[in-house]
Amino acid sequence: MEEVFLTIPILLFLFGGIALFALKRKAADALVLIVSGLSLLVDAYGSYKFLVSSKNIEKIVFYKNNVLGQVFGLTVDTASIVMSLLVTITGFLVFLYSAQYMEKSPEESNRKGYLYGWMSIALAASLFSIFSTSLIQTIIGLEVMAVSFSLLVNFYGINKGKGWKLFAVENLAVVLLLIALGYTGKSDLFLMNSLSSHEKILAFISMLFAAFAMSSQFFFYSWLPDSTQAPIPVSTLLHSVTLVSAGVIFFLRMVQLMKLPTEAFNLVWPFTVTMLVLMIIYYPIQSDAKKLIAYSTISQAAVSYTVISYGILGQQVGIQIGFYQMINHIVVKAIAFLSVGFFIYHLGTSDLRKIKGIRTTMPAASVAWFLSFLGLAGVLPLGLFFGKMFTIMSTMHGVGFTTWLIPSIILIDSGVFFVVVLYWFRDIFFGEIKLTEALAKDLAKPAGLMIAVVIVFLVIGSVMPWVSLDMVKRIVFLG
Amino acid sequence: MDFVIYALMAFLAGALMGFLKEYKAVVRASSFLGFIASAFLFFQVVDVYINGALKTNILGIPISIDSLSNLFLLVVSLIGMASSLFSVNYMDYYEKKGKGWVYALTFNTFIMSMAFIVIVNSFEWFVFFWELMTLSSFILVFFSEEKKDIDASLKYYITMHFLNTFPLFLSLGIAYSLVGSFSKLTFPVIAAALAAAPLITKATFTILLLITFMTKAGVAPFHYWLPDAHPAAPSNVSALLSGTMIKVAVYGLVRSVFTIIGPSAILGYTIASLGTITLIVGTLYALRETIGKRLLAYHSVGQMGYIWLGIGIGAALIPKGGVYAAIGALGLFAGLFHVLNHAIFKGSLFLSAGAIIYATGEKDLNNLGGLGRYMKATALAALFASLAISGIPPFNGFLSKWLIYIAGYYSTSLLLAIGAVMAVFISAATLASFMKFYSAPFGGEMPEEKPVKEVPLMMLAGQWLLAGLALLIGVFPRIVVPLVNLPAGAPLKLTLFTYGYSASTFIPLYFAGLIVVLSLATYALLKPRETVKAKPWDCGSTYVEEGEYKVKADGYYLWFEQKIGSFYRFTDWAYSFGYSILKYIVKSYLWIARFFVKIVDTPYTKVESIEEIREHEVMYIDEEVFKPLVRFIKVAGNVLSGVRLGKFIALTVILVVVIGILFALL
Amino acid sequence: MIDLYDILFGVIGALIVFIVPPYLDGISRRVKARIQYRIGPPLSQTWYDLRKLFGLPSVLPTDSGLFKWAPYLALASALTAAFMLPFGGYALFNYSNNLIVFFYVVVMVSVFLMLAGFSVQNAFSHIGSTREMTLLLTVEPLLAVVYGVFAYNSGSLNILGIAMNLKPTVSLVLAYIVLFYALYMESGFVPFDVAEAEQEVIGGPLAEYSGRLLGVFYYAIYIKRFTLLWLFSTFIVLPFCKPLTPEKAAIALPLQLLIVFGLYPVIASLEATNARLRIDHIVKTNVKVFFISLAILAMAFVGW
Repeated sequence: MEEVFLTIPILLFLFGGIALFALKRKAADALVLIVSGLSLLVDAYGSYKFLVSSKNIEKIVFYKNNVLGQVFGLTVDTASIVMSLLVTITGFLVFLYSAQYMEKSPEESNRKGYLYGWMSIALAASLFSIFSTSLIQTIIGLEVMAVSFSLLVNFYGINKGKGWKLFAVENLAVVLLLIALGYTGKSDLFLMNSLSSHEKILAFISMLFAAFAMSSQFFFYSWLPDSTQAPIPVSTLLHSVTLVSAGVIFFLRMVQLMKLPTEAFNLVWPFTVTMLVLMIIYYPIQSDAKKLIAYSTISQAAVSYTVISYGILGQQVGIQIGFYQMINHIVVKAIAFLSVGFFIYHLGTSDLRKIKGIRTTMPAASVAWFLSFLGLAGVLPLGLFFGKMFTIMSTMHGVGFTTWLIPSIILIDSGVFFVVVLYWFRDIFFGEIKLTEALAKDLAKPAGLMIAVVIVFLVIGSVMPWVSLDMVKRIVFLG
Repeated sequence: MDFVIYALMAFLAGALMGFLKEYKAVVRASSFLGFIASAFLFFQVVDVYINGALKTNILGIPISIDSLSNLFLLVVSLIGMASSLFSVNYMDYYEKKGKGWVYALTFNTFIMSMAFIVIVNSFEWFVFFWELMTLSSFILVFFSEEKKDIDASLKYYITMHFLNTFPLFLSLGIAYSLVGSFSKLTFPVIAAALAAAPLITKATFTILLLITFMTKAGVAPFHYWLPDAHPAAPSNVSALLSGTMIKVAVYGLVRSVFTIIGPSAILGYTIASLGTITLIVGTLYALRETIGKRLLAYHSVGQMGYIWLGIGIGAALIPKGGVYAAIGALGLFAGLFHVLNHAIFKGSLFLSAGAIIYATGEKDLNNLGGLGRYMKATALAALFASLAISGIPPFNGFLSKWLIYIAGYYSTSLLLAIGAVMAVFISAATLASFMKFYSAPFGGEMPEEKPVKEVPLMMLAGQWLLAGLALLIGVFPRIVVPLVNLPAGAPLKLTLFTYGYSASTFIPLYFAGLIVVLSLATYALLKPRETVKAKPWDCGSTYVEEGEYKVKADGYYLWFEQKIGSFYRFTDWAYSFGYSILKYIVKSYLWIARFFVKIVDTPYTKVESIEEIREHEVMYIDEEVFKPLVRFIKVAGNVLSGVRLGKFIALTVILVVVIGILFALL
Repeated sequence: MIDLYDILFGVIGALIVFIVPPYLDGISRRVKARIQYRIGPPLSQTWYDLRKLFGLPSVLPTDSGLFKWAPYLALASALTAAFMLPFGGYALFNYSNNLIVFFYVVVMVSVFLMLAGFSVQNAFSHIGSTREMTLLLTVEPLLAVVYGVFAYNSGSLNILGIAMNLKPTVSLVLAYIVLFYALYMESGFVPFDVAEAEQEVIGGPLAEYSGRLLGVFYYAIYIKRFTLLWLFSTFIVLPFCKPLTPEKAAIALPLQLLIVFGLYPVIASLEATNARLRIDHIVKTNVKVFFISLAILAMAFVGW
């Protein structure tokens, strides 16, 4: 019975998205809020029903094929339920934020329908791939997300190459998934554990690199920082609940279902550690706040991948904590982007070199910026502190020198990010800016709704680590 | 219900006082609620002392208040009460900043987190509250928003991130890998698992925790953040930082060494040596300072050395057993007693320094003078606290320092005896500093006549709560010594009047009584019958202004500082050595970062700093790998579209291919 | 348990403490005079000087309460320190028997002296006070080493306990020399009288004192010198008087007094034949002496 409640949001976002293309401004706002609000309520109800039952997993099949196995269906377990909740909540709140944010210029306000349309479709595709039971379902969801996001990244019509780069990389992921499909001959993820060890490793490599491409890991990572040219709400969704996290969920499913041989562990950490080292080099040279956040996304996703890969060694705690790390990251990332949105809204720039004195000019935004950026480095009260704490604890259960290497690199990465953020904090929080008339007018623009959304997110971000810790304990190996 | 729960409720109420909007109302209400909460903590201390250890669970947090936790909870509650009282009026000094709600939230969170650190029975919760304490103190340190203070807070927080958070997380990781479960990480369980672990794991765990607590307590060589951060904060917060926060680090040390890892000779000698070095470095640097709060901060470092010396003696000698165990327990007791005493008199000193700043707006001792006439109550409190920290009987500082010396001298270990020798010497240096600290603002006359009033009643209450305790505990040690001695178990000779160890005893009341009686008697017999008022004799130097006719604070110990200059040069060199390591790390980073940025490498491109690197465009590796291919395609496209004879060449090519195929077929 | 002997020796000791110190100063003046080919004043001259001071009015250059009370507190501290010492083996007021406590009480005299100097707005008295403190800074480490040697050697830090349990070793003899040197400095005898600096314009922390207040301060300083010397003579006489019976004590007390009266001329002649050292000389010298005494401490711990 839950499948009704869990499928309705997908359909709502899909059809609502299509309908939104025809609308502008307030009408678009109204429709998207109705659509996302309804999706939230329905999904919340369905999730609640699942969570209070003591089931760990429920597989719902919509269409089966004798050759390929399951093609469409829903894998309902704690991971996908929590993710769907986060998708709908984030979606609703981000749309609420955009209603006021996109008013900053008339052109953007007129194109709200276009923006919301593709965002809704992307959310639908994200939910589709989160609940995916098979490679084909993942491929379809991925392709739709690729199309929507590459169009959204080109929203402002400049630097179109960046949108096409996103499209190219995601299609590479699709190709890799097709290769895996062709090689194994199976689409159903639940049937993958019956392959021979050798076949599993080869399929795993191809699927792993597809997931890496989805989450902007090794080797094609530059599309994510470049995608931040999109409007803030788009970036928020892209980095938090859609493409990047879909990749992590896909990897989680691989480890949960495939019963991989333990040698596969050594296929993951070299690449994620390389990405972490690379990010350490990139953090201090960023001057754009959005790009800084993007690099942080890459490293936090790398951390999630690393911890989940401990599941390959048989440690269930690995997949639980890897998921925990990711869901806490989702909320902190959202707050980070939304707080930078204030800079663009009031000051017209996200270049940190040009911003000063925000404690007095934008007090609410400055607090949100402070908490979220430090939160990305793992500082209380937001959830990545707990994510990092449990991550370090679980990664010290490793094999050989990785017992020390992996926790140390994770700590050094967060340490460098922390130092970088603190120095920016010193520069942008304090100091005097010349209040010209234009600047004063910009600062006085109404931002109450945006502030309310950020406050709600902050509350969610502070409460979630406590609430979700018990929930993630229900994520187990399946199949 | 347990008093701790009431305290928690009061802290939460205080933290949320920001909703009151008006600045004065916010700071007063939140400070007062902080006081109420600390008072509840004090009641909890008394309750545990009378009824025994408390094991409970608050909101899912496992709490265990044993004798050690109770002592440190006492420290938190006393200084919390005094500082909160003081803050009720003191925070008016910062009204222009208008950050009332920030103060309410962070001040109450700060005290609450420190209280919880010392009572939780779970390593995870310990780390959680530790980080909460660091975050709230960070926000309080840069409260004044002056550049110097912001830089000090950054230095503090970055130091804590690398030298506290990293080691704590890593040691949590080790604990988890030994115990195997997230929910069972209580201290006794970790201790049991650690006992069975290989030596390398034990050593790593110990070193990580040692680094953590060294840094937070301000023990050399990781003390460099303290003299900048403690003066930067508002004085009521400084009292908490020096009085309570660094003591919480000592709690961590004692808990780790005695409950989790287990004392041993090598660990004890290491701690004692670190303590000796710290007391020398901290106090001798304090001699040079003329900013009042910096002087006090360096003394916090120095006095922390005493505490570590005492604990080190305990850790080294207790495992030996027999009479040495008694001496070790004495050292541990003396160290713990000094924790309480130092918290009391250092808290009082910082509050007095805050009172001076509140009344005059001046922080530099060189520019102060003559306040003794107008601020009599503050002056007497400062005098009491100064004598207490110098270890002059009958104040409380003497009692704990005396037993540290005795423990060191009786230990029959040359290392520990040298520690005691240095401790006695540094006690004189402490006296020197505090002669300066007391007499420069309060002695003599003001440099320029300014209207100065005594500070409000609440601020006096805060100072006198602690200064009075310094005297009271000094004369009647029986009030607190049994509580302090519970975790150490030293065989003290303690009655209502006597205080001491084996044959060395001291009766403070007798002594104080003797002094009082003799001075009153001699005054009665020999008081001056006639007095004449006159101006101080200037020996003819009439061109010197009366306000200038004194020795300024920076000139007090000039000769001494010059003659021990080589010591300062060495430690200054050590500081600059650490600083240049950081610079080299940045330089090597810049060298690596140049490869990731689109820079044209000419002899004229210089990249000296990160700001300059940010001017260039960032380079993506994946793009660069495919750039050649992309370039080739673009070039090929340009070439092919630009060829005018395209059609003719295309036909020729097709013709050649067709002929070639025909040939091949034939 | 206070018995007859306690009271007897206590009363005698109190009398000695109150009466003898100015006479010692008188001896010193006589000896110095003789060395300088003069006749010198009578032995009771210092008492006459004190009586004259007590008769003069006092000038108060400041309203500070500390200024008025410091002399009496200093005198009380000096007396309290003296009453702690064994007179023939019996102390008058036994609030402690520990050597470290004794030296801290003696330091209190200097503390009140310094506070007195700082409380008045006079650059010269400030300089005097800072010099007194610098001197103290350089003396304390030497005393600390002496504590260490005594503690290791005799196993005790109580005055009677040390005296009764000393074992003769080379380091002990050297420690005695260091102890005498430290006591000499702390008493402020020439060449270490840089704080009082009577011959200089500066005149030390007591520059602004006059009349009764000055008299009380001088009296306190004399008692302090006597007390420190009495400690040293205790350590010379009592080790030969074990076990301590009242008979032995009756012999010990006069012996202690004799040693004090015997040492004072020696001290006086040292004073007369030396010039005052500058404060930076003193610091430099004492730093070197400190490092030598650390070697003595090491010797003690090795057993020599």
